[in-house]
Amino acid sequence: MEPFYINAPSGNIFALYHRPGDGADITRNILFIPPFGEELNRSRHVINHQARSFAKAGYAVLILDLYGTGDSTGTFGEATVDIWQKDIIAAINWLKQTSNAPPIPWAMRSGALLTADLVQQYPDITDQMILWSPVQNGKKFIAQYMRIKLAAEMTGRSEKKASSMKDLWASLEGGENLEIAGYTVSPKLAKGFAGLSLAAIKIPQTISVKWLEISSASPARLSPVSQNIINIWKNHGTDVTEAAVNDVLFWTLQEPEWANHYCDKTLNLLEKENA
Amino acid sequence: MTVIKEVCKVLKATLQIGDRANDIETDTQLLGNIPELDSMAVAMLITAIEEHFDIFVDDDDISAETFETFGSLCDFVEEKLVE
Repeated sequence: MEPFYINAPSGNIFALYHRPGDGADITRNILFIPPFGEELNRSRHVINHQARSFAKAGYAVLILDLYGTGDSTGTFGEATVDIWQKDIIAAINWLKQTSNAPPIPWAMRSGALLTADLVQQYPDITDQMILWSPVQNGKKFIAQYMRIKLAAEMTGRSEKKASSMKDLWASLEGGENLEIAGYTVSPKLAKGFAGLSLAAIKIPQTISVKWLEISSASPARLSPVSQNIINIWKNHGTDVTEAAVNDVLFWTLQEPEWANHYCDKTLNLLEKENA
Repeated sequence: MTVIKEVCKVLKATLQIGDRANDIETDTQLLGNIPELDSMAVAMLITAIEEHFDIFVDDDDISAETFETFGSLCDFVEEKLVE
């Protein structure tokens, strides 16, 4: 496992590279694109576990800390969708020195939204990608995140008088940053995400997609929203393999828990595609 | 499963309260009584309920009263299901 910095337009972004053991050949590179804020912190153990599983199976894995997160330069408040997408491109370019084949983005939650939008703009980036529990709609996602602030004021643990969602969006429009759960959300970042929606994104037909999500239903099934997006993509000619797995929503949990069914299924689908 | 049992299941999974979920009754206080129920957990609980029951929670619906007791939360979900 090698830690180092990649030079991106925004600055130095921190990366961890897991190579397959014993000098084995790299089947393909996998590039992990992280989720938003606290979701990443709560997922680290699962992400690293999965990266090691991939490495054991012959894949090299690059785990990225996007600008303003983890050990990368910058502050969260300065981050934008544009900066983050340029970070992803910088990582893809770095990986070219290790393999002729393009890397496989493994994008989680809001990372999936960033990546889907990016491959629409740059279809040659890759020929396949893994989407982990994709955030479907950026505006809804930001609104859900802003709920934390509403909840904080509601639970009386904040000194401000209770705002409404309208007030919060108005603050952003007015150029104010929002401090939410220890993260500074800038108007630019919120607007960037609000403009992204998976249903509106046309995934190039040259890219095959593995879509995995977690279900609490028995038997496991995709959410209606996800199924709808997948149908739209398939109707456009995109090859999508989707799977719903019974497991825990590990990125939401305070105390770390493993998601072994989810991880195993992911490796399974990856190996099937690249056999 | 009844709405009450399902809401309890979502609560248990989201807040990771384990067997304490078995002691939850209609008049069990939530906000202020369950230490895991901080602002982040409230937001996550709302999202989890939305996804589990396939309902939409309008932000104007979110109030301290909704989360006062387990019963008030279940009533809220039942109302949303009828909408």
